[in-house]
Amino acid sequence: MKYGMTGKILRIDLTDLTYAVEEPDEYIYRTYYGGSALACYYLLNECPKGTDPMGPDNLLIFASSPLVGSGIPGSNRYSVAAISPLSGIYGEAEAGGWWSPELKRAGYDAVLIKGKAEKPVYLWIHDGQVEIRNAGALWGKGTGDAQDIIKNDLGVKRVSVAAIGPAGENQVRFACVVNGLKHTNGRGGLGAVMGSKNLKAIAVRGKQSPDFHDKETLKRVIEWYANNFMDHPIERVLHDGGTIGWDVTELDEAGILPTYNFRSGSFEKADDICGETFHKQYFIEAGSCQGCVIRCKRVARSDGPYKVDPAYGGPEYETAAAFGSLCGVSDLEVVCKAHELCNKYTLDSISTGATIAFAMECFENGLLTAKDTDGLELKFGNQKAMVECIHKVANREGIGDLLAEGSRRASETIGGGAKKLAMHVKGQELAMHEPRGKGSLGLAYALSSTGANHTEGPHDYLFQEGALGVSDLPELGILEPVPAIELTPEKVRYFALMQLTWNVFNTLGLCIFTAGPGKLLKMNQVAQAVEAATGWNVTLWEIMKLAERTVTLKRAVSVLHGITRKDDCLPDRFFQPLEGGLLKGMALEQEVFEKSLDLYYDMRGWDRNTGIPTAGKLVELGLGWVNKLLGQQ
Amino acid sequence: MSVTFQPKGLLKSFCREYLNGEEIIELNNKEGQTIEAVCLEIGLPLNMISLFVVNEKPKPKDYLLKNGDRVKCVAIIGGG
Repeated sequence: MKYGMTGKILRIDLTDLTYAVEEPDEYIYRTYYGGSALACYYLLNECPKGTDPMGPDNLLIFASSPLVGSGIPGSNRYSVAAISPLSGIYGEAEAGGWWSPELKRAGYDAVLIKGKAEKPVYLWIHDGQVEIRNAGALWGKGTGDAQDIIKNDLGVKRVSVAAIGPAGENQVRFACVVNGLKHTNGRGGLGAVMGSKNLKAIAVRGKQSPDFHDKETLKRVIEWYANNFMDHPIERVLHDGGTIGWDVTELDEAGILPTYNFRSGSFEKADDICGETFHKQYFIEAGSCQGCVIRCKRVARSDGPYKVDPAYGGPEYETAAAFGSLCGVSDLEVVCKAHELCNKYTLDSISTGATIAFAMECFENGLLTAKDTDGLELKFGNQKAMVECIHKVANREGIGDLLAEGSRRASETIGGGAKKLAMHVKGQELAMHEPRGKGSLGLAYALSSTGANHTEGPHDYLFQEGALGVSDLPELGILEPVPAIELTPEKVRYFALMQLTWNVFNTLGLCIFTAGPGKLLKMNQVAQAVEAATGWNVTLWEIMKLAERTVTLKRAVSVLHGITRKDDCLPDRFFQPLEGGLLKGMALEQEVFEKSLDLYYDMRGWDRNTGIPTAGKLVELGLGWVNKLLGQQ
Repeated sequence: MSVTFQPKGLLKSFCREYLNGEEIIELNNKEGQTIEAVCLEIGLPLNMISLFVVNEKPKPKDYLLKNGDRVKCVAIIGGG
């Protein structure tokens, strides 16, 4: 690798407390680039079927990408991947911040971690050097204290730290990884994998950025972006209000704000938890990731009864809805506190809120009683009980120990109809978007290889008549609008294409808020930026093939670990009518949904009956070696 | 003889001069005009607006306004 990457992969064995450096051939980089595709390459090769997600043989991967550090807005991200303790299949989560560019400056494109340390440790990676250090004094600490201790221990202020808190240490199945206290690799329980290895944190710092091939072109794109983003309506609203500012009120008005564990699409107190209320009462400043002018991050503070610490940033839309409308809570200070606790303990705010909402519905249906909940009246709207639950989950105390298993496992333990109240796909809880009002979103939830995932592709409203997305991708054959709510064959085609655009960003380390459909930087420009970074002759065709390879690799990992077509489904609730809001009475149709799945498998080159990528498709994508792993010729 | 327009959430930032600190814009003599025409007049970005709700029912952008109509303009993007 001459440009864009360091050319070095760091391997850590925590059992032996040793490390090694690999320098993969350039064809590996050209085939898998980085991020999620690179992670899948290693997982497929090194984590066979039956790998225990919490065992020493699970491979935990932190992977950057060629664009990272180039200065292209949003090119600061990395993937964390492993076999997920929440779903038992492919687990992946992305985060921004400064950690990924700093890893490359420290000399590595990715870190692969196996084994289990006998005692807690943290990694210190700096200017090509690697140290495995004692983390005994850090164990039991939240991310803020842990980061402070590491900085003092190292005597380096500008170190970037990705860490777990008590939830990761206690192997809560939806524990996340947090860098810089406010940037989260949220989904899939990858913080629990860190905890299972006795790995508290990875601290990185370096002085040598990789060389980029065409710095003039990169500079020109960066300047153009800075000069134009405020004229783009979506980038402007992201800059002005972040994600909390663009969703709660709007989704409530449209009848698709997940409310009371997805029973309703409208929350009577939505205005109390919306972006405007947030900005009036708790917002203190906008935050950013490395090199990004959008500055969509929000920072919250409160000196009220719940005292919210701004060091942990502020809630995104997902968090506001998960701890707000989904749990029937209308006190925004409590929502901000819940966010702070999640980042301190390292809990995925989506799965945490969704699992508590599930427990609330169980409680209201008599499936859980105060005897089961340590005396907590776990009813919708009981904000004190919700906050207490977060503490209990992180520390696996009382009812928290059951909920720390995630809603799928908890529902199996509770029994008596609880399974119908657990809103998950493949074990991962749904994010805060209602599939009954967005035709292809249900497909995205059902088909994602990580379980329910709202960032599988842009949402349906972007492609309805007059919307921004319709004119963004004529080169991909996106030429006509499609209605938002319906699920038609044409909508399946749009989803299959759009899924590629967002998935490839997780391989390129790029943010979906700065680039792609409906954003300022178009897919052709992304290809040009990758070419400028790497020096390879990169076209849109290569980017889209890389995207298809990424989606197929992820599927292959999950197939290897046991999923088939029967797992590509949605909770029954979504085939029942919405109970409230503008779309009251709306339900998905099972037959239409199944036919849409058939069509999707055909388009993707996956077998209709099994959902497994066909032998021919794998060979076409340069993944013929995966056929043997999947038992195909 | 008026209609009201209520841009929801961050759409307000596109027409602050019309809102003048209020939640709702009251407009006279718009009967017979389309929602689309009025949105353009007051500066709302049509390519961001996903839903028009007129008197609590969804309507298309070419809906012809009637006296007393209450129009909500909603942008739906997708979270993070």
